[in-house]
Amino acid sequence: MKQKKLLEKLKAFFDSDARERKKQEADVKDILKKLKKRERHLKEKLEDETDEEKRNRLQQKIDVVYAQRKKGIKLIKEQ
Amino acid sequence: MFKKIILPSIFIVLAYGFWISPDFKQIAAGVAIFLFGMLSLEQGFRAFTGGALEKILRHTTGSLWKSLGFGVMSTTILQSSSLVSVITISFLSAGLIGLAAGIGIIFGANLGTTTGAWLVAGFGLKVKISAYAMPMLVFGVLLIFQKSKALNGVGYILAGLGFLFLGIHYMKEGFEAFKDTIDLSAFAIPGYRGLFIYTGIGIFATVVMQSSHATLVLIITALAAQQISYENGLALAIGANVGTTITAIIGSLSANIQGKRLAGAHMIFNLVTGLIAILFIHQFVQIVDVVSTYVGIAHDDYTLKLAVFHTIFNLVGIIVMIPFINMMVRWLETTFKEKVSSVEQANFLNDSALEFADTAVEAVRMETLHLYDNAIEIIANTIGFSKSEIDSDSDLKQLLNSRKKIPEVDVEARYDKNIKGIYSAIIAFISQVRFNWQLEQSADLHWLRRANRNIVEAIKSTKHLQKNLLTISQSFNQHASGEYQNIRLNLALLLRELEDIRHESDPDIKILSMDEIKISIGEADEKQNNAIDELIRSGKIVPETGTSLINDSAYLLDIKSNLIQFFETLFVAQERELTKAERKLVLDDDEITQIRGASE
Repeated sequence: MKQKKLLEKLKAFFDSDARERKKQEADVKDILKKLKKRERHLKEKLEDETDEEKRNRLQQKIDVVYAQRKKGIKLIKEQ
Repeated sequence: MFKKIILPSIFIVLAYGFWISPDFKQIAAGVAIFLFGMLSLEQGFRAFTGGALEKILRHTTGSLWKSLGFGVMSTTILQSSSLVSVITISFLSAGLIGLAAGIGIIFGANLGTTTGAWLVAGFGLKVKISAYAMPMLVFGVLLIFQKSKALNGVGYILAGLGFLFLGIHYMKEGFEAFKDTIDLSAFAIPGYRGLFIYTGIGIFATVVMQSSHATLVLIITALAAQQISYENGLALAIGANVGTTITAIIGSLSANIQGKRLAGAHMIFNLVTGLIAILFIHQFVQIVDVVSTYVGIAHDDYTLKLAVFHTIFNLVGIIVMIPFINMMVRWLETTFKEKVSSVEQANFLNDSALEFADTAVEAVRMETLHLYDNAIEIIANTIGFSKSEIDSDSDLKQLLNSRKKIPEVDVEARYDKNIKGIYSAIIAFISQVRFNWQLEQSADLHWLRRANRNIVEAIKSTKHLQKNLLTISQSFNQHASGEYQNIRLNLALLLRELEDIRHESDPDIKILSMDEIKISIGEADEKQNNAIDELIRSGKIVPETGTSLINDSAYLLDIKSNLIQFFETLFVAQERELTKAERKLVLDDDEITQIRGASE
């Protein structure tokens, strides 16, 4: 059992594609975290804003960040 | 502050002068008309730059001897050294000839003018070109109305000459009042003191009468009546020669620095020749006597003897001054310095940065941002904001409403001053980079170069946008001016948003932030075009204003797109670990349309 695990690890080490994929996945996750933070920040701003025009603009920004996050989550699931 | 009060002060002094002295008014009007003639002449010659006239001039003024000959010939034909020097100044101002060639012509003109005395004295002949002034003016103005560039140029030249003569005529008329005050016999003092005094009178008389010929006639009359001695008469002639430079000096007032240098050369030549003639007056008298006896001029024929003197002392002047022409050119170039507006230079590009690939890329990146900062300032100023207002939290809409009038910015000059130098340095720096670098850095430089081009394109569109922005935004038609206010606000908001992204948001999601801006600019463009259509349809603005607005909203979109592309390319070049992953999340056109559709 121990040997099998070791072999798998070794295989993963030499398989650069898989390694690259893993790295990409981690990066996307990192970005998603940042986007989530941004979305939260924008929502807070929206709550405080009273000007209709500015509210619309903020809402649109939230929509964009949401769409980007959705795209990122889909990407991770596909991998 | 000083500059602000200088013009009103001049106006007040002049107005007071006009009020108390009609003669002064006439002289001042003469100077004004004369200067206007100079401007017109220059404009006319400019039409021929790069054409036949330039070729002829290059051929005829190719060497010092040629330009000297040109000066002698043209002055003999035109019978006015002042006119030739004034035309030469305008040649020089229009860039048709160089300073050395101009000086050659002026020297030649000084010799050429002495042929006038010969013609008057020998043949009683007088070519009076001023008689053609009025027809010149009429034909000139008629030709100015012609479409053909060449005819138009000729028109400006003729009108210019006409105005020159008209101006001289008025100056003469104005000075007429002072003419009687010149009493030649009052200063009959022997020795050098007398010589200098009479030279001074000669200068004064020529300035007053605007013609060295007229002074010569005055001298001959005074000599004949024995009011003055022969030597004093010669001193007056020397003075007349110096005084004639005043026309060239007045002419150079409207000329550029080259014209001023030439007027300086003219002045130096005539002063030095005058000084030589005064110092060696006895030797000159002897030479004149020898030459006069040789050619058979009577002992008391002062008219011809004056002509001989005039020719000899100008010839001596030329012989003495020719070896110093190059020295004179250098001196004039250092004394009359061209005002070079300080062009902003690159801050980060230096040879040491070229040593390593990474430092070179970083230097170009920093310099590109420097260029961007300057560009943003120009764009913000053009739409009536300062950069600090864009960077601040102040309400842009409120600021916009508080100042409807936009101060005019010379975008072209600002481009030359703050953009061109840096842009050129960046391009030159990138071209020096060695090609054996890794692919990655070469690609970065390629992107940065493109980012720079985006900035320049944005400035160009700003310049186009400015034209109508300045006029229509002040229009009484509120709908039209309102749309231009929208353009201003739109652009100002974008500038602020870009600055926010640049400074505040998380560096790792900057590219993604661009998606938000892309959506908002697409929407704003569509909204504006719909509004313009509606305004035209309902007749609230005329179709001409409508098309201007459509064009200008296209320029606005162009500026915005270029600025966004700038940031995108800049961030791509700023390769980070996360950039690849980040780019995977950038929304495509379909996804952007979906969001816009949902928000509408």
